[in-house]
Amino acid sequence: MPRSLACAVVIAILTFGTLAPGGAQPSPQRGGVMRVATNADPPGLDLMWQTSTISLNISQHVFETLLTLDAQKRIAPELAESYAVSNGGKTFTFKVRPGVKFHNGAEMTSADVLGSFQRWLALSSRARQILKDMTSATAPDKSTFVVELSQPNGAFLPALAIPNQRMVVFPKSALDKNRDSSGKPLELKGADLIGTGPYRLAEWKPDQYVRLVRFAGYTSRPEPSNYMAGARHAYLDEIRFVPVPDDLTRVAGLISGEYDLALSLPGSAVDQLKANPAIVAQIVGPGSAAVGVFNKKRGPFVDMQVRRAAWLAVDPQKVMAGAFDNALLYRLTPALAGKEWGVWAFPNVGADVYAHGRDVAKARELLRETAYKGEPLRWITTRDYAYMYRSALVASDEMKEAGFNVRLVVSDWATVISDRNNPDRYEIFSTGIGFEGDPTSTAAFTPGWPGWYDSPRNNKNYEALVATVEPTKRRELAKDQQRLFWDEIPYLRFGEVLTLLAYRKNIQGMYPDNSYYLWNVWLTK
Amino acid sequence: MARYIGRRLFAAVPLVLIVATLVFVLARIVPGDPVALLLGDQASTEDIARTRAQLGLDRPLPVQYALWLSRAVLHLDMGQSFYLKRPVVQAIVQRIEPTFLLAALGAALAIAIGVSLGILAAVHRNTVVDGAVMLMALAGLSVPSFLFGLILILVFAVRFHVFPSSGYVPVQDGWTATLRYLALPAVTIGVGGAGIIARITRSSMLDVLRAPYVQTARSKGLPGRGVVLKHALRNALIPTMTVISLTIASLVAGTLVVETVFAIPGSGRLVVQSVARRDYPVIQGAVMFVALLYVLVNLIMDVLYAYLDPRVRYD
Repeated sequence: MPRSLACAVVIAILTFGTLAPGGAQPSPQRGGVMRVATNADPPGLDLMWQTSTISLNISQHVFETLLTLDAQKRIAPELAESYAVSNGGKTFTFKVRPGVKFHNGAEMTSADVLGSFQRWLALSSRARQILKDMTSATAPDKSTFVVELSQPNGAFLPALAIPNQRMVVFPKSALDKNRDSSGKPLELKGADLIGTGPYRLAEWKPDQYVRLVRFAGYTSRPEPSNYMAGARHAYLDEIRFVPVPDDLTRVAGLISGEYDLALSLPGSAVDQLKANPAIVAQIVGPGSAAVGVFNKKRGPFVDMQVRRAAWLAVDPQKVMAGAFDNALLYRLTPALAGKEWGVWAFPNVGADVYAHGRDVAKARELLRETAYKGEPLRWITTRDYAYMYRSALVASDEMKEAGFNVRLVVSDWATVISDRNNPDRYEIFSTGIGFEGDPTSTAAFTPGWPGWYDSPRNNKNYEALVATVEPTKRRELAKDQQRLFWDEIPYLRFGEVLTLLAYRKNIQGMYPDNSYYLWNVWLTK
Repeated sequence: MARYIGRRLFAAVPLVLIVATLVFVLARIVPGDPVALLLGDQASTEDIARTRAQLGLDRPLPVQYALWLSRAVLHLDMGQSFYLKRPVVQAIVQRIEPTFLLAALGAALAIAIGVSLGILAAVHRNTVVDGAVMLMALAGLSVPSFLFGLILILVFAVRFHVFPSSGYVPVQDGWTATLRYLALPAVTIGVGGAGIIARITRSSMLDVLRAPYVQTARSKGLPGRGVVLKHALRNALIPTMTVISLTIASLVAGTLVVETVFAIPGSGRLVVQSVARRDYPVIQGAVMFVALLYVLVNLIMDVLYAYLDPRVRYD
């Protein structure tokens, strides 16, 4: 490992070492309005319908799921009172927590869970993929929900618990109301955005604010709070999410005290915010990894050797240093899951390939043996996310030295995410790919996602991950997935992008994480 | 005059239609898929196809155009925003208040500062005052509004806590709060506009001050201030009016940037965000609205010319 790379890793680890919630906190107080500056207005608040981060940050206060994750990222019950897996991993029985009320006052029953589950299957392609072997889903009585499969399944429970496109429980009445003429689900809006969460949606003025207020009828779990799991206390009277699109204005608003918390802060503000005595600024994360995804359907990168040559041509340390002004904001690791993900983090698997030391001569040699003869390669990227553009800039320069004829095509994010679906439009595209809570839930490892990673070895491993229930075996398969990744290099994975969490000191109880949940959080005067 | 106004309004119809057609075509030529943006990273092609069909985006372009135009013309219905999930007209109308107030305050500041500084410079031609005023005017013109806005935020919001850094309070919740929130953004756009108005006022005042009738007024012994304000200014304002009307139009365009910097939920920001979101119905509706606004501002300016200069008659 080059010395500079080692230094960056050490710095990143030291930074992370200081993240544990510190010391005793004053006792919680009820009341107050928390003002949160967000980078964008949500495209919708129906979490089953679409998956943007800002929608999740807001909606998770309103809606809840059957299962969730605790601080060790273990599956824990949320709206389920309990759950059991029987019949060799083929039958899943959930007991629904009694006495849970929706924001409209109705009591939640297994009929609501079943209705929500059916909608989830209709809307989430990942859910359908994981549950291809489902034979039935029933609600035999008011408090029981049962899913039967023809094959054992180890991916189902994690899919219910992980944040992305989550199986939120909505009232069946709201779902029945929102269908088109053929019975297909429509997006939930307005008064139909009814959940069971500690806060309810009071008002949403697009581009002005989303206002959540404490739900007086909330019944919390009895266990102590543990990350997303356990008791959820709604101490605040109100949470107001205000979209402030300009990065620097969000920073200014946080410093001037107009906002208590600001999301998606620019890395350039780290030092300024850390130096401010009124503000707590921490590095948490990772949110995702900075990557350049190869087109593996068409063009030279279908050939694994060309991809390996590209990886040999780049130095991840240099790319990440170029992408971020501050070394606190990234972490260099071959792990597909950050160390925060506990059992899924393998910091050493593939380390030899990751920290290879840049070898341009070898890259040239490898490339010479392939069919690639200097044809132009389009790398589509965007300045909307500065790190994407800057990492592409550094990496493409390095690749040019090894004989790759790379040209950056810079456009806005809307164009990138539309073009990346078309295999004729690019050879590489920039994006961020995070670990989503289970090795089966990263879309980039499925053949249908842009970049089209359709490797027989990976597909077989993925299917085994779905079909395996036993935790130790799943862990081994996840390790294989990471080893395979560094063998086949489906995308250039430069390093993890960490998140700057900054809020005013009057906020108490914030969990140092990029998930931004505000239950169990209170304001001091 | 009424006939003239009627004729002008009628002539604007084909103009607005041409603008509408151009916008429809341009919005769809630009790459970028609103549905892929709407559904997020994990959406499958199947999910995207379903939503496209729901939004009517799977139909051929000419059909979409015909449907949109017939709805817009026959029913005055600009459709539904993909992103905001509400009628376009409602989305635009709700955003007019902050933009209108911001542009009006900005224009008032630009005119007040620009005209007074222009007169001051003209009266003190080739002195230190003139030089200082023209330097200020140049600075006002040259500093980009987003940068000037951020400087104002740093000084007046972060350092001295005099004004809020961002956001907006509707008039119905209290005038004073509205003004507090609009102060910094209005100064930001006003200063840029003041620069050009000052320069034009100065040069046209200089022309008029040299005119024989002003010399006559002076030789009759009228006080200097009266000559400048009563006799010279009215005539000097005619070329200035043209610049003011153009400046107001550019102030409205300037709100695009300023509303984003100050997080004001106005129509400028709506347009910027709708373009980023590829929210076609809002883009089309907003551009048609702006086209109409330009037609109206031009018309008002022409009527004002006639009022200021009795020789200009349109009947």
